[in-house]
Amino acid sequence: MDQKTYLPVFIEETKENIQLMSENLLLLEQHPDNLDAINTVFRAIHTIKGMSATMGYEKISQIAHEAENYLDWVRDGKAIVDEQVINALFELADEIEEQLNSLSATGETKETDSRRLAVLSRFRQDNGFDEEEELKPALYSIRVTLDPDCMLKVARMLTIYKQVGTYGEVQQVVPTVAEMVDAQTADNMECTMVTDKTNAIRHFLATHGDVAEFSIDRKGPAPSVSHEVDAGQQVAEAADSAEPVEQVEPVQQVQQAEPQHNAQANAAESPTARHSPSIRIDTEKLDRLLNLVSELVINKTSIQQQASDVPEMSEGVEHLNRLTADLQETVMQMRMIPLETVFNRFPRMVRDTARSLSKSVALEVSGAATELDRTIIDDIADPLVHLLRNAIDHGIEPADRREQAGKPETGVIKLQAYQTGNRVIIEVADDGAGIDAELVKRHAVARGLIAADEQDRRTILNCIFSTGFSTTGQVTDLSGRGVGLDVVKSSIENLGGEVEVNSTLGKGTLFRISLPLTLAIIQGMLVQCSEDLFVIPVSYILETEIIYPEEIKMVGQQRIYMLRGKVLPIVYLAELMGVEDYTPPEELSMVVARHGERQVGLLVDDLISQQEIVIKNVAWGQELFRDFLGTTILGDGSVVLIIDVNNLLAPLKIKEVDKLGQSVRSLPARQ
Amino acid sequence: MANQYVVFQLDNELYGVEITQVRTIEKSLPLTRVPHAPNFVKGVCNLRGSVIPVMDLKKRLSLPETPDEEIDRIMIVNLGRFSVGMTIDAANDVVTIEPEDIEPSPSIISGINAEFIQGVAKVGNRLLIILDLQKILTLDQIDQLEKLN
Repeated sequence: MDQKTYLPVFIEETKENIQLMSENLLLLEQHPDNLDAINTVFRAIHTIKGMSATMGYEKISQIAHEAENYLDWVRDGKAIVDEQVINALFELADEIEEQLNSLSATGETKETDSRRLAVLSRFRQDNGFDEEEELKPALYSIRVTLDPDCMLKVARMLTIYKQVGTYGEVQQVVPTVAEMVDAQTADNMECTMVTDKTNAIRHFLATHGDVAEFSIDRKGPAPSVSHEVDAGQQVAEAADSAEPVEQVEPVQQVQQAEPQHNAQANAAESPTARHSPSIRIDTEKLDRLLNLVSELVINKTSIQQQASDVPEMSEGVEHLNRLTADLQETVMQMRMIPLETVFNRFPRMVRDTARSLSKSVALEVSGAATELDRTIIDDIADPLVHLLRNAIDHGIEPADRREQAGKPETGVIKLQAYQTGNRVIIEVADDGAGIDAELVKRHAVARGLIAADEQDRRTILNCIFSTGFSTTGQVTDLSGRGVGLDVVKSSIENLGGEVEVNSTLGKGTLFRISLPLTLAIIQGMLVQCSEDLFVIPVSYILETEIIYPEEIKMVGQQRIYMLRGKVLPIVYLAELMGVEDYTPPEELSMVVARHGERQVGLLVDDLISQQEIVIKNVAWGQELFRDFLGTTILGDGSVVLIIDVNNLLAPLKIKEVDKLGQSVRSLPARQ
Repeated sequence: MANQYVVFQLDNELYGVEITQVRTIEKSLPLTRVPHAPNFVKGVCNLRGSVIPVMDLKKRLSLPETPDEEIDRIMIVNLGRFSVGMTIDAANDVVTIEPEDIEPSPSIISGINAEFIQGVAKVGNRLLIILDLQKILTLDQIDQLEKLN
């Protein structure tokens, strides 16, 4: 087998299994007797072990083997799950993940951290479990029930029978092979055999996709195979073994019965989760498909325009229109990934962060199935991690202060996602100390961010997103709360999103992130500016306005416009775009755009239309297109640049105008 | 091994690029200008659905400008994962040149930066200037060029 071909798949699937393992370990931490969780962890680790052994990564399979062994004793009731064990298993999961990272970086596994491995073997000794006992051959009854929906039952049952048979010596099988073949069906099978490999059989059956349920029951010690022994001795042996069998069986039955139910419960929910008919596709192929579809959409638009004069084509064009719309929608959906892929790792992260701060925090996640375009998913994790860490570190109070405030000891962080219209909202809410708006206000006024008479609570609170807001040592209670929030804000804005905060002192804080569903197609405003056309993304636009040149005033070198009593700095887009000798028309259109924390009026000759814009990136010379998010092709085939408002306006020193605000009203109009 | 070269004309000189690097040669395409780009970037065009930047090869090679002329042809070259268009006067021919017939270029040919030239070769009785597309399309050069100016 060529390992390189399978390495990416191996890494991805193993990561999924580690994720599954982590999720269920967290569950186990809450409910140590949850057998479902133990079984799931077991299955995950077993799959990791098998796959890594197949791939030849012995180090990984060895780590998995350690964890598997211990879990096996847990399943057999021979060992317990406590906090230490869970920590040790988490450590092993980390170890496997590190090995995977090393694999994807260098193509080779790294040295195993032997301390991590040693922890579980120590528990094993502490539990006084003797591994030998399991290895003695004994008589077992193995019952297998096939998934009622599976096809070719006889063939499948025979394969299972054949495989199980390799683990020991079969004494009896009901129904017999001949009976199965005659009956042309086989739902159940009971196989009595002598084996010392029950673990192997259990693994085989537990991971077999067509097995709905199974049980492995110990019937007694292995019968003597020697026929020379006289009858009396055999009877004596049977008598000897009779009692232990009686004793062992009820215990075995109880222990086996539970997992059996679980197997059934799992079977009910997992086929869709584990065997859903899905395939993995290279994301590049998806991107290419999207590109082709955008191509088609553009092409369709131009055909539509050309065919508008030809009545006999209208039906065909209409059909083409519907088909392309469906196709586009389907392709967009293919790129949608549930937020789950990002949310998954948060429970573990919250647990670890809370622990390191000696706080008790519960994370409640909802709406993880909400889907977003994968380009956005990739970049939303970091800001969310930041907000969650902030909430644990600065939001949730230490236990004693929570008690004083009459709150439950365990702080709650709610992570919620949902879709409204064509946007997805993600909320991070904590029931912690909240933010002192008065403190923020004093600080913000001191930094000149807001006026001293600012009353709007939202405006005040949202100052915490300003760059370097809390880095001054003055406001100790706040420091940390604002650190990095400017980064959070800018990374969310880069995704075409918005973030805002609301907070009640003593009650908690809520961060609300709003994101577009996709970045590949955006809403854009097509504007005319001298002889050029440009697209301004609607996500930047606050409003549009018609204004006249005589309404424009000057403050120093800066043009301004009074919009509902507020000073709005304005610029001619044509001038920004280097048009020489620009003559503005009699009537101008103003696009009020968001530029970081302030607003700027962009003056253009005309607003043409608002439309869906398919973003086309230019592969070469990105540094030349700094001021643009990309390009798009219009229905007539012409290329138009999409303006990146933040980058375009960054070099302008628009800031100074704000301070001139109050005195401006008395200035005479220009001309 | 002998390589094939596409021969084209800029002013009165002949230039060549390896045929494997040439995707197509198009009649003039409508261009959209890119504000704030260096002067040798003529704009972007729509080549069957892909947006491709187009370079004014004369400006890139610092050749003297000939005023007010129509763009005759755009040669689309492929380099790695991207395509770039280049304005040329006319594409003449495809020629085969043995590697040993390519000589290192003299430091300056008609004012072109020697770095952009891979070598020169005789084709019939004319001199063919073989361009190094990798260098021409590497934008690190811009900074240095602009600093010099």
